[in-house]
Amino acid sequence: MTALESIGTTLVVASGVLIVTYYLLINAGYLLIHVLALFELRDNVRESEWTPSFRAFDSPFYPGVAMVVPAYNEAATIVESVRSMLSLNYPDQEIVVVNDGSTDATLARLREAYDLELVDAEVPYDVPAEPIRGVYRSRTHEDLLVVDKENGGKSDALNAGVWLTEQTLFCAVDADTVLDRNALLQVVKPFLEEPERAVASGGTIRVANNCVVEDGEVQEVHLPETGLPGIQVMEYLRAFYSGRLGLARLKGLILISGAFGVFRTDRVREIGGYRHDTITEDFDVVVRLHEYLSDEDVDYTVDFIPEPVAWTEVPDTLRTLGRQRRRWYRGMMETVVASRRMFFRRAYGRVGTVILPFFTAAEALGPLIEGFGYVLLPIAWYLGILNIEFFLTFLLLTVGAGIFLSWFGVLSEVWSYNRYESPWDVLRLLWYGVLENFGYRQWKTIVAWHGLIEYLRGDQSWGVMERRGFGTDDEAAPPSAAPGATVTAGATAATAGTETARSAATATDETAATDRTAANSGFVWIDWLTEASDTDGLRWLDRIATEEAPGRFAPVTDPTVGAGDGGFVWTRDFADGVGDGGFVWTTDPSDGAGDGGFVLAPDADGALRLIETTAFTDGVGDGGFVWTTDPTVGAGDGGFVWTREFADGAGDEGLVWVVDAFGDGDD
Amino acid sequence: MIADPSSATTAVAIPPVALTAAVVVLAASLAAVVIVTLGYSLRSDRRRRRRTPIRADLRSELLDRLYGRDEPAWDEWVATLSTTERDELESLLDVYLRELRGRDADSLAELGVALGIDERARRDIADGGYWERIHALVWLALLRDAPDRSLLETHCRETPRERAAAARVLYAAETTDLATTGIDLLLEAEPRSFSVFGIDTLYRVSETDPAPLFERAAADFETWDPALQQQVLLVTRHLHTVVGGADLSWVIGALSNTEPRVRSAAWRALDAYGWNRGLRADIGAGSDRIADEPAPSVRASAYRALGAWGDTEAVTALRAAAEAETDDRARVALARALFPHWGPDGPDPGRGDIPAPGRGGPDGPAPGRENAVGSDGDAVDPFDAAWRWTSEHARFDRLARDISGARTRGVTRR
Repeated sequence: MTALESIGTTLVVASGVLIVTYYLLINAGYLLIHVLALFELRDNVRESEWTPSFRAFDSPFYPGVAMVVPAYNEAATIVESVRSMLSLNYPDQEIVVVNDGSTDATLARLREAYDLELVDAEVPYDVPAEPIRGVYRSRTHEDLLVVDKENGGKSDALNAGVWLTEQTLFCAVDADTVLDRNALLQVVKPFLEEPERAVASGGTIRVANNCVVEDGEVQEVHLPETGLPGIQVMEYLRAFYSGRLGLARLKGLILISGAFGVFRTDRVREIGGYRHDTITEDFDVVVRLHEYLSDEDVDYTVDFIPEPVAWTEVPDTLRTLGRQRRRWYRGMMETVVASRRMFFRRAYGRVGTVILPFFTAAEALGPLIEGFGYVLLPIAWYLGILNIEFFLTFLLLTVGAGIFLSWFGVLSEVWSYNRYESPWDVLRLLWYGVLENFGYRQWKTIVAWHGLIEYLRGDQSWGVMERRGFGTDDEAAPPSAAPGATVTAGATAATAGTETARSAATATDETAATDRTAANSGFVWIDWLTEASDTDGLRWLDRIATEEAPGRFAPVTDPTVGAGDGGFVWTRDFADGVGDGGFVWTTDPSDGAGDGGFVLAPDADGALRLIETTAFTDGVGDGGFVWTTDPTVGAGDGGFVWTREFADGAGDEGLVWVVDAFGDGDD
Repeated sequence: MIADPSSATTAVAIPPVALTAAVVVLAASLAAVVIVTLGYSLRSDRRRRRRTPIRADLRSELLDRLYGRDEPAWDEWVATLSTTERDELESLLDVYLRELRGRDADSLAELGVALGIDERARRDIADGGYWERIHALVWLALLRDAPDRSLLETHCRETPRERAAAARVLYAAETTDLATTGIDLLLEAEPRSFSVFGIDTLYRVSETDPAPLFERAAADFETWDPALQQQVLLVTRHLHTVVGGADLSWVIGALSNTEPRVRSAAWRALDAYGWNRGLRADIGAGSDRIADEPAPSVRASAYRALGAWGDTEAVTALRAAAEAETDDRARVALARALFPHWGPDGPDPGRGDIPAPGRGGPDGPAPGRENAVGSDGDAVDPFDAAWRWTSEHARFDRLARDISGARTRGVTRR
């Protein structure tokens, strides 16, 4: 063996040993957390079964709670969401909806539904948020406040709500999250038991896909019908019923979901509110609370209550899920790096000495090391450097232990609150616990590496997307085998009205912001257009144009093949599609509403991109597509409407946008 | 291929025996988890299927006996029930006892006796562990059935929660000497602070007779933890209708406490005592205390108290404070305190409200009162901004509470 070969062999062997040892230690840690979680769950169940003999609604001492609801382009669901929050069972609550520069009819819908009127006064406080355009009160609902402000992202919107409420506590909740009717009464329990010490409390997030939601409440709990959301149910159970509970037992809970968490208003203000420069603001705010309160030598608690549930829909496509997980991974790295001074310092108690280092090792490094192991170890075995037993040990520690820990999470749920009542659903959950570790887990290691690369590159594209909206696409789903990571509610269109809501909608692909468009390209028409309902086609095209990935329109019969879950069909009747307008092809950009549209423009190497422009001479054929409600405006007597049902138009095919090159990693 | 690879593999070889043992352990663990999980699930499912119709029938029968008959005949009914049915009925009783009052609750309490809950609760207090005792105390409070005082004093003093629950039983049963015994139980061992249940129990107990609480506070207030001081002051605020001639000097003393939250709670406690001239005389001119108060939150509480008092002296003190207040939130609290006295139109020169706050003197506005710039670019006096904000919100409060207006608008109120 040459010296180089010897060095190489040694490196490979050492890496292999390191990986296996790493996983031995990490899984030992996970196992400890899971076991502690069972004890914590037992105590929680006992506590939940004891209800003191006084009435919440009779007592003048219950703390008031403000539901702070950031909303961006939630026109479709905001009215019902607010209605369901107004009917939550709690003695003293206020609803603060923060319209974060929506470009759709969110504010208009609220104004109409709740008889809102502008408060004719400036806000007399300095609010650490983007400028507030106006504050609205309802003439009929005393406890509803609506804040209309410039777009600034979820953190910014939360800060506006936190600064404008007078309540002792606030509950950060997503606009499309569905809460159990008594969830607020339950999640404030730590503040009732220890009103002086409790600073934050979180509940459980569960997957609403395929659940029956009526009148703003989940009436029937079912498992999703498809595998990807089903696996995420598994992840959520493990993250909350093992991870969070275990960390709570260790007095080291560093995560409270942004979709449903209650905080002391004054404490969050003291730390300056939510940070704007992070994606996982919920993770960040809890870590900073730990840091601040430890620095101030304050005796405090951060609690997790497994019983109150907030329901949210999760992505059902790998593409959307991958985007979320990469974004979550980057946010986690940001927070871990920002809180590095807490690591291994006794002044921060267990959070600093144990929890944060373990969390970093397990959640941040774990997927990376595992991914590396999947590549290195088979190669090493093939080259004869490591024997097969080594690789099997690795698989045992990852896949085998992963299944065990997943099933442990299911056991916790069944043993305690048992929302999945059907044994058949439980069996399916156990199956998902297996399925998760063959393919999905490995895929997540790729996603983690991709996320790390984007983090190291300082990729700003997601920052721009985050400013666009946070209602659906930005929320991270829970992690893989790791307990206690951020769950910020991957919510898509969970309607809270009288309609039943089934399955995850991919509205994530359509919540494109037009603020950037309006600001940078002079498309003032977009703001006006999105006052209209259901301008999905417009947002859809705008998103593709923003990504500027080379591609083409392809005629297909399956609307889910291309970008998003729909496409364009040709029709003479614009009512056929979603909304009341469509796109016509024309050489005059001013034909449609506004002063521009979209063109297919070839670049130097001939690849076509969809771009937004006011100059149609840039496009193929010196023309482009404008949006209009009149199908006769352009060339011909019809145009293209956006739809998910290709049968709506002429023929049975539609045009979807197919990306030619590998764009952001998961197209 | 790597030359002589065997040296590397030999160095890190995993013994097959170890690997086999690990596989066996993992497989056994997985099997155990699956069996236990499915076992629990099947058992729960079977229990639910069995109990759901039972519960529905029991609910129907209970309500019929409670409302549909002259005599519910609980004993007869209970005698016919199985163990499962009694268990479900107990659960239903818990729900209804928390909702109903008066004769209905009295009748249901008899059902509790028929089910033997009162006797079981006493046994649990005497012989049970912590959770048995705690649940037993809740049942006795719901049934309004106080056991022998000695039972409570012997077995229910270990934790603040038990003591509060025991005091609650005495309150629910309206026992004699409730206030003294209740205060003794609650303040035993001078807890650091109460839960909300404890605070509420302290309030309810003291409402029957505030003297024991006020006497204890007068003697021990200074030795208590600031959190407890704050909570007792909070309770005191709600006892203004029953205070009588009790000694409240300790409340005034709390206005000078070193902790801002205690000072704030003291002011909040006093806002309901403006009618007490002796207390007011002891407090002195509020404006001096306020001017010297460094914490904005305390000043805000003081403003609320002065606003609640509302006499000329108090409003004068508020007006003086309005000229000097520099904190935004305290300023809004000040505006809210003045609003009931000045009305939506603001200060009235004819009423002697001049000089209008915020205008400043010949030397210009006071420090911190320099005009901000509004959205229209014009200078805005900070107090004017607070006043306008307060005035607008008061308008909306009136609108939302105006039921007649809602009918006219045809709006369905929540």
